[in-house]
Amino acid sequence: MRPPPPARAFALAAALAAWTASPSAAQDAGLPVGRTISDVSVVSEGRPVLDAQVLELLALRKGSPLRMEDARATIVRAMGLGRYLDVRVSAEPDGDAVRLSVDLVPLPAQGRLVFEGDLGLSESAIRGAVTERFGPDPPRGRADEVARVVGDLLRDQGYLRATVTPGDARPGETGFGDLVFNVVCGPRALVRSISFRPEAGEEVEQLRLRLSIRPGVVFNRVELRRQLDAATEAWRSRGYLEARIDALVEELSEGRGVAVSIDVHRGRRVSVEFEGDPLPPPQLAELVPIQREASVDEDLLEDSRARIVSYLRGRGYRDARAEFRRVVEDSRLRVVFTVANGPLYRVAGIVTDGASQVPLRELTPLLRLSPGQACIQAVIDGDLAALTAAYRRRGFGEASCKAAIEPVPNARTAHEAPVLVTIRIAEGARTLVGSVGVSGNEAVADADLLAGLSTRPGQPFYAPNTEADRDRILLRYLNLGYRLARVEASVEHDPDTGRASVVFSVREGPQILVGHILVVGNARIGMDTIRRELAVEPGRPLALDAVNESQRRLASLGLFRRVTISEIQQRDDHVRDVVVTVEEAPATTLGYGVGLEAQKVETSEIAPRGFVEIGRRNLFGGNRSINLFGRVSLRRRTAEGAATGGQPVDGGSETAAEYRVAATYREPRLWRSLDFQIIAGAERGRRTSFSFEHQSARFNLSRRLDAAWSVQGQYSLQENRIYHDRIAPADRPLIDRLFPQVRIASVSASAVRNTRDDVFDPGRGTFLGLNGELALRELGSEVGFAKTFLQGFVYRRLPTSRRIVLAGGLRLGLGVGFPREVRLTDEHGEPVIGDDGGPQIVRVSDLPASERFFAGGDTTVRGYRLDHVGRPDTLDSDGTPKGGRAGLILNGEVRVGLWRDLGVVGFIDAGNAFRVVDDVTLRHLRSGAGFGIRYKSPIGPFRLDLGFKLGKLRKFVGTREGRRAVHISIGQAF
Amino acid sequence: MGAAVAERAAVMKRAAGTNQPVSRAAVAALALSLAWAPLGAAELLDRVLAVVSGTVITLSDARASLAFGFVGAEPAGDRIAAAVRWLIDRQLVLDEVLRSGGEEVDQARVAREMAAIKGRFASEAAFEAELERLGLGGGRAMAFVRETLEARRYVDRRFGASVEPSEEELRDYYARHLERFVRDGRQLDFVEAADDVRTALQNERREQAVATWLDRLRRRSSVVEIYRAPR
Repeated sequence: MRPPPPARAFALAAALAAWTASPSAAQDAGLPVGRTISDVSVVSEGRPVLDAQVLELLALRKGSPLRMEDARATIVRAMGLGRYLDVRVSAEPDGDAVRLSVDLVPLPAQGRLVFEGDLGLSESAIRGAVTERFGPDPPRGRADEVARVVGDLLRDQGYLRATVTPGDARPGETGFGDLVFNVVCGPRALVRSISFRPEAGEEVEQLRLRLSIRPGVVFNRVELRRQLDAATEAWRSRGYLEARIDALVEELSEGRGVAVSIDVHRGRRVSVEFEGDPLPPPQLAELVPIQREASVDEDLLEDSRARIVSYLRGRGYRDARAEFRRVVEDSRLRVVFTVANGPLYRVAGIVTDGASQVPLRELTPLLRLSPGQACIQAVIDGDLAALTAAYRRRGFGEASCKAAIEPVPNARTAHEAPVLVTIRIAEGARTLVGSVGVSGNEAVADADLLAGLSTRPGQPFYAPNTEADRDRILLRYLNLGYRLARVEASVEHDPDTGRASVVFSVREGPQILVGHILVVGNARIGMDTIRRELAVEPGRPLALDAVNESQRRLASLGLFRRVTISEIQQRDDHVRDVVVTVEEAPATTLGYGVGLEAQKVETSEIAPRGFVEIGRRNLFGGNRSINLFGRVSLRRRTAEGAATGGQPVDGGSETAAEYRVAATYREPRLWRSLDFQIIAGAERGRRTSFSFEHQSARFNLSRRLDAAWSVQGQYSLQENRIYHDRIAPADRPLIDRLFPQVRIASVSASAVRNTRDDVFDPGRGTFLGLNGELALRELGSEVGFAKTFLQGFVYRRLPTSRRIVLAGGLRLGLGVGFPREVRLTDEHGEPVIGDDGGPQIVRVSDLPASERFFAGGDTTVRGYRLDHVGRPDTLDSDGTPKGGRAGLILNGEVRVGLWRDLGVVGFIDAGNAFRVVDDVTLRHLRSGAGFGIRYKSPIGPFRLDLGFKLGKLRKFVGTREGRRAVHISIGQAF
Repeated sequence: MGAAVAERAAVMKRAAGTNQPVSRAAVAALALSLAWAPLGAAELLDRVLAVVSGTVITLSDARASLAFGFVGAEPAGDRIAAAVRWLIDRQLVLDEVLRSGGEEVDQARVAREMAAIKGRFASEAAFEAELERLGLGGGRAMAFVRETLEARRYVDRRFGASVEPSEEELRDYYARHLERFVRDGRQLDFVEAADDVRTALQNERREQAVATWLDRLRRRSSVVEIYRAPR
């Protein structure tokens, strides 16, 4: 049950329920247990309670016999809602039956912190100090501590005789929930005198100038200490590392004054010097931290010396030495460290001795130490630990590894000392698992518990495996509702046979079932929306995974700030009520902004723009949301369009508005786990050579089948209109592609299987997607076509080197246009007039430009400009891509992590766009290869690729295509 | 655990917080709005007496603890208050037991305790009737008893071992509590009473340690006492 908030706790203490000495209560006599209940009324503050959730909690039912456990269960459940101070069940005779009344006493209003009396400081300052220490709502049980904190605050601020005592709430003046403190601050002390020891001197004068505390000012202990600490720090930053200032405060005149006595010790100026072999400058502060510690005492210097030696020996200078000496010169202290590295110990060879049962080829890859490296003890220790762990995993429970380091004879010089490292392995006896058994289990069969365990007969015995298996068995029970289950593993070793018998002893305890489910904290979200996400059900086992799944589902709705699921234990060990406590997130979000856009095309333009976004969740109490976005820009536009080439005519111009509006409606779980979404939008904009209007709408149903598979169906509609057309003929194909001049309405279906470990930078897994789209006039489309697109990507990390990922991809697109009649237009877009005087009509069955397949660019075939891979029938004579009804892309890449977030790749891509499906063939693929750099930024991998075209270069009108292309982008190529 | 109740009450009062006494005016004013005056033959079956970290303690729990003899004899009128204090302490300990992974009490021990409780009643039928009246039928009584034993065992295990008092401490205790070491009207000397002195001193120290520990538990837990003994 959720406990009442601390603020209410004291309120509860103050809000007494007087115990009337009714004879029945006092003597506990004559309780009408067993009588039939004729009626049950539920009231709160004298009024009937109509809340269905509360009435549902009654364990007392009309017509049933009265049982005391039902009365108690009703009380416990109602208290679980967190709304009530008390719940009382009373009984009144009704003939031979009994009439029951359930009185729900609500919690009183939130209590306050009240400070009364002579506060001395502002109430906000006192309240701030309490809040900083205890939070906004201090627990009532710590009233004494609160009083002490307030008292300390007052005394620090000069009220040396301040007293603070917790008081009583007073009816009519303070609320019953209030926590009251009576404050008597007393007189505020003034500084009567300040004295320094020594009385004079340069340091004293410096300090006197720094301090703002003078005789006659109000005494503030905190401020005094702050100023003294600042002065000390200032001296230490100038090298006076031994500086120390202490203040002694003597109270005078019954707290009305203080005498402050300050001890000043600046000490000598300290410098640290190094001689002998150099140490790396970035390490000096860490190795000799006298500045940070502000001390030059003997212990610190000795620790520094030891740190220097340890640092050097850790890098292979096994004979390193360091000494220090103090040199006092007048007012200066020089600490001089003398460092001698000695020769660098280098590994000349590594010998492994004692390995007989495990082949060396399995052990050698575990060693990081290799010939030629510096002989670093940490590396050797790591290798020994790796070898030992490898043996233990193979069942050699007593295996140990040691290393001996011997100098190579007659090879030592002043700078280098070659050594031979011998790793001596004591394998010990190998233990295999002889038998595995379970005892104490009744609810779950042995076979079920033993399935999936890593401890199996014949396998090497490895204690951590056994512990993990114990946890697996325990989790199994917890997920079946045996929340009090315990599992212990006992192992018996037989040295004669080298076998270990493992027995998992289970104490199941009772299986806990779910009683009632209470939902608390929801105001706007409907109960059904919450209950629908719960994996726990009344009467079913209270399984741990069901509770976790319920919490996960509720959190993933995005409707709540916080979700907690707790349990109330009834007297019955086997039943627990589940309380789902939610804190709803804000239902409405509002965003807005303004800005300026500046650009220079023909003339300089500055366009003010503004946007607003409104989002609303929890529509109609369910998990539905709607989001509206709108953006408006104002541009000055020339009065004439193409005819004037954009230049103003007669100096005229007008202001035109660009806008974009988008609306999204989302309803998860609309029908049988299908998520529904509508996205609609309209946009009007201006480009350099044309203006456009665009409308679109999408209706989408999707469903996640499991962790990997998801399916989706969609109907989409889009329409564009271009006006103020000044498009150059060469640009028209691209414009047509981006803004198709026909209305397209289609239905599509797709299935995706995604097991990638990371969406942005996968190192493992696969992505498979199949999409089919059909556009028909009957659906509202002006063109008809059918398309299908298949894509597959695979990612594998090399087992021998976790830094290397192999990635491969295949994309295949096929499409066919349904025949339609269109007007023939010339290169200027004007209709061609036929012999009959009317526009010439031709029959085409091509895909609209926006629906065609293209190849080339940073995510398809690198080494080529965007979309510029094609055949003579999918590229214009000048190389402008036209796209085709089919496309095929193949990719292969090796990704190598070099150092931290930096990596390199090598790739080879191949692909092409084909005019018709029948043209698809591997022989006609164009390919590119190259390398690139990757940097894992917080927003995704930055990518720089340099690709080179393989094979013969093509020649277009006027130009020959270049051999290479540079691609810069964010995110992997595929 | 029940033996430290009297001492515990004094310690708990010093702990302040939710146990702070409230002014009589406040009691009177709120009593009018919250107090339930019996009308006719209506009687109170059950209600909330306290809430300990979310666990509700009811009047029926208090009745059960009195009926089973877990709460020591108190002057009439204070029995419920004593039961509430005992139940609060019991729940605080049970929360600790749960936090520490549980405390095992074998079934035979529970059965013996149940038998001892049953022996307080005139007959088996009277015992069963009382269980029904308390709402503890169907194994619930045994669960209540088992939990109580688990709490006791936990406290015994945690505070069982104690440092042996010194000779000086024993003599000092003996000197301060001479009246406790009288047998057949004769004052025992220190040597005769040594074992009793040692036991009494260790028990006193243990009770103080338990009371201090319970204080600490209460401070860091959410304990709300609804019930107040009538003045």
